[in-house]
Amino acid sequence: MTIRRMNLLLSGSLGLVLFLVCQVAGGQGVLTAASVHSALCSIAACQNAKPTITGFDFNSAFTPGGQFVLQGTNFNSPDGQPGSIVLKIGSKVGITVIHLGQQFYHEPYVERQTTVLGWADSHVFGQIPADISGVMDGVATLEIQRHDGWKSAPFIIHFKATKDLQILPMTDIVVKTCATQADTNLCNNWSDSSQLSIPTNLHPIPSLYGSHALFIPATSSSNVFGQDIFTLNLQNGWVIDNSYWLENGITYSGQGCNNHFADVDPPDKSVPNRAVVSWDTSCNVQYQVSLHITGPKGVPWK
Amino acid sequence: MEMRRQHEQHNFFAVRVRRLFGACCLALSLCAASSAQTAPPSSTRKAAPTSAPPSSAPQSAPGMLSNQNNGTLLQAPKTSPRGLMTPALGGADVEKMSHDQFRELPDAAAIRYRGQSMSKGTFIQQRVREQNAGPSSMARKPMMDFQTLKTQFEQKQSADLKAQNARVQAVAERLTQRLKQVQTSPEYLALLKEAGDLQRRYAAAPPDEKSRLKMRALQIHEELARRERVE
Repeated sequence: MTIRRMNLLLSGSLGLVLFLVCQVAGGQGVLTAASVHSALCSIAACQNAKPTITGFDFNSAFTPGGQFVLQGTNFNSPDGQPGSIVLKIGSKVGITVIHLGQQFYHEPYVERQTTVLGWADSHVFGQIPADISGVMDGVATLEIQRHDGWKSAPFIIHFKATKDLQILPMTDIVVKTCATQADTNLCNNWSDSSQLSIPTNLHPIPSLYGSHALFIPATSSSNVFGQDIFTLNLQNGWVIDNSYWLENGITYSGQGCNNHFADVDPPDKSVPNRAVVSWDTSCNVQYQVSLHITGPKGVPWK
Repeated sequence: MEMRRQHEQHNFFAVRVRRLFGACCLALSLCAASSAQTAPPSSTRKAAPTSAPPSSAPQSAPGMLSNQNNGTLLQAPKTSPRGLMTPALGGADVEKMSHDQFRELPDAAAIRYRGQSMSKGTFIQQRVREQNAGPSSMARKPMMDFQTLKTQFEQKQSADLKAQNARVQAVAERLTQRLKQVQTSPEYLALLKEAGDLQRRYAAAPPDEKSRLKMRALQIHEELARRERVE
């Protein structure tokens, strides 16, 4: 009995000492913004609501290396620790297959943690990894994963891939019409004369190369006209980029000609799959054009 | 007398040879004229102007490649094994030919150009060499190096992203600043203090007091969360 009383007294004293120590350690009960919710919810029966993404700041860049701000509710877990933001592109269960004639492009499933740059209960600030490639522009999702394990529903965003700039190779272009009005005519790898060929010193190798030569001296001032038509077929979000088309390399060549002229109508939105070169010569006209194409980095254009 | 007869005989043969040669030339000329008549007139070789619709493109011109949408190309004329050798006979004068006549000749055909006999293939090669060697009458448009263009393209893309990120950062900083203002406001600090007091009192509170403190704790939690919701 005595021993029991002694134990109670001891444990009571120990409890008091521990309580006082906790008071001192707790800064006399002063809570911080990070710890207050945890403390209050340990007393009250807080509803542990699921985090919900309601929107994003319109400046957000959902692109590799891009930063974003997501808005919503209940992003903070009770322990006050920040969570993570997960980006998912494509489908995990099925493979996104793009049918390209006889070929298939398998768009990979990408799941990456974004870098958390800021975290609050109603907004998070993050950055998408810069090295994501091989995926096209399109729908992706972001998910908030709180530190306590609670996850938000996937929030749909429009992901914009990093773009690449390339020259469309000659092998991916079809000569639809090569005008044969001159004495010898060459359009890319087609010619009506075995004597003509594409010069080997062209750099970069152009997408379109044409040579139309007259060897018979002109008898009148009338020139010879022609129109060469090329077609192309870009896939997977690749498009012709005409922003540098003046630098695409229309070259003129001639000697002793009255006139020689080549005018290129590169593909545009109205006729996206056709390039037309109109030429006019009394002697010899050559042209070389590099068709610039842009599209998602790491994704094939055919 | 004998010499005179021999001379007349020689003249007779010479005249016959000349006549025979003349007949040959006439036949050749007729052949050439006939060929010229069957060749399409030069006006048919004119392509439609640049502004013409694609349907009026010179698709009907002889020998033109068209509608090869499967990528199959017409076979270019092949040079015969002897194609580039100088032929034994002179051939037609290239400077008197029409474009159509010239085009219709195979590469191995003999032609004459400025007194020299050669195959059409050799002639084309020579002329192409001459044209390429001579100074261009128009300056070639300088082509910008593609790698430079590509670097510019990537730099622009990077700069655009940097500018956009800067705008997002400004938004994030504004939100952080607003949150800081909220969390240092007297009202917020008062609630924090009350939460600390409540936590202290709760441990030793009797059951009915505990129930009241619980309710108040929930109210403070919700009020703080509401204030923290900055936009």
